[in-house]
Amino acid sequence: MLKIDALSVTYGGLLALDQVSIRADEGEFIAIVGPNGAGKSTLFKAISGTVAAASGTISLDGTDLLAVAPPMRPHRGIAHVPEGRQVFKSLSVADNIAMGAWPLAPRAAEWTQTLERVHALFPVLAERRDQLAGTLSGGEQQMLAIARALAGKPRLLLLDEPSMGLSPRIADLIFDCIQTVHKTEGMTVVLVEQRAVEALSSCNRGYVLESGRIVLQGSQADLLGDDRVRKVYLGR
Amino acid sequence: MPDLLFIVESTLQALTAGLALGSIYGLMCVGLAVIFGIMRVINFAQGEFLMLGMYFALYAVVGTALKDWAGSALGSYIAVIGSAPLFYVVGTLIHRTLMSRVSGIKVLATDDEGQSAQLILTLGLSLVLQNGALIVFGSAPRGLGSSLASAAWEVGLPGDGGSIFINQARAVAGALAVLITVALAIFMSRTRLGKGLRAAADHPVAATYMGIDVARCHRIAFGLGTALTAVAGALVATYYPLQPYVGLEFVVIMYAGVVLGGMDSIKGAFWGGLIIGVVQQMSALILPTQLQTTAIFVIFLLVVFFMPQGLFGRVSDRA
Ligand SMILES: Nc1ncnc2c1ncn2[C@@H]1O[C@H](COP(=O)(O)OP(=O)(O)OP(=O)(O)O)[C@@H](O)[C@H]1O
Ligand SMILES: [Mg+2]
Repeated sequence: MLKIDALSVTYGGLLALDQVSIRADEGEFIAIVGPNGAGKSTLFKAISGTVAAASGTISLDGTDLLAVAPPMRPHRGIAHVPEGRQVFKSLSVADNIAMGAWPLAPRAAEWTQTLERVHALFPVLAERRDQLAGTLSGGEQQMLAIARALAGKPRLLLLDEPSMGLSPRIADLIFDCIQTVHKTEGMTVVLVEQRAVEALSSCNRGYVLESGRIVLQGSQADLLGDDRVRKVYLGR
Repeated sequence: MPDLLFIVESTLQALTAGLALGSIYGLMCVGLAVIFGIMRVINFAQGEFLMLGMYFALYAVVGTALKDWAGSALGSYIAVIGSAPLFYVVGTLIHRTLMSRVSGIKVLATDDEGQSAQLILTLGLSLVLQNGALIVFGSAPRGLGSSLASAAWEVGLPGDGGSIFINQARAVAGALAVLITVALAIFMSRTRLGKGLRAAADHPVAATYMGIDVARCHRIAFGLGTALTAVAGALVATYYPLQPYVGLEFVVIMYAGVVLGGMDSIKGAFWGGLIIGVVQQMSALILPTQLQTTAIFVIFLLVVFFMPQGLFGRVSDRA
């Protein structure tokens, strides 16, 4: 479904991604782990088009994604939950979710269904539907950011450190929800995380990204069994 | 106590005149606030958009058969309605050819958010339009000659409280300004596109992740802001004489109103303009006409001093 080939990204001469190749097949759950500054967010930004690719290709279902204008990419079924949530603070919770459904331009009946679906996953958002998103707690904002992405019924969900800054309990809840969505809706998920244990234990396959390069890739079992991964990322 | 009666009468007179005028100022401020609120661009050519709206109304009424066919009063309101789509298109074209080069997502990430380039561009545009208007329209003040401009409604006060007079052209213009502002507020808060515009203003990058075309939102915002200002101009033209520099007389009011109301709130901008209209008219009761603008600035400075967020500044952000 998603195929990235030899992708390089530079920030004013500084190489942030160096010949990165990543693939996510239909219905897969891919984890990407790596330390701070490895280029994980940059990878997602290149997929969404908010940073330009210096070289390489990104294709979605065989079509060249780099040729698609950035705001049109979500219309192809990609939803990006950015690092740091980035909810629309001056819009209500319900309106934030409505913006996630922008590509679908849902009619009333469909919209009700969408709301019910995300409210079932995150009941707290139903209670707070008319509250301004800027007044939500960090955990609630993260739930909203995910709910907003799901409202567009994407086929590919990109999640950038959804557990960042959250208590373990809320982080677990978020990981559970992601699992649920992946299993029940068969959505393809690419998850970037620093919490390698959680990320690797929910994935089918994974990649280790360090200093802009893929240094290791493999199935869940491969990665969990790898000595270096165990030492550096799992701490055992 | 004839004196007290006189004071009540003239206060009410000034208040109604201030409300009518203030509503029109409010609409001008809304035009400015739409552009700033969504694009983060301060448009220094705002006064000239107002001036062009006035000239459009003039030529539509006087220069065509509209006057003979519909009369000067109805004809000028038909011109007002016509100015909206025309100036929306003008605004989107200006955005496409000029503004898009110095604004938008790419400059929002830069150090000064593109503000110097925007200042130079919109200020330059304002000078070009002013002097262009001088060449094309000439410097002589002209008027639309709407029959309502010199007509008034008389409203009797209860008892023998005398009566107040309401200029018909200003009253109708004020009412239309309120109507347009309410319609815009409903558009922004209820419709899908309105919410999309607000999302693009709130977080342009996240809006892009939603599939919202931020550049298109900015084009719509600039078109809307231009159209609103030109419509306000066409309304002003129904009671006020025009000349190429007429925009300068109103531009101060627009900026003061928008700062009073909070730079990026449509409702706030309207209230800001309304307050200025009322202060201006009420101050005429006690101050000579030359000092009316001073009165506006005293209020303005007081608000800036005590409430730098503006009267209606948002405090929704937690972070
Ligand atoms: N806009 C930018 N301009 C210049 N350099 C940048 C920019 N954005 C990122 N970088 C650099 O690119 C590298 C990769 O950054 P990126 O944000 O992709 O890392 P990350 O893996 O997401 O890190 P983290 O886990 O801390 O979120 C870093 O060295 C960073 O300093
Ligand atoms: Mg990151």
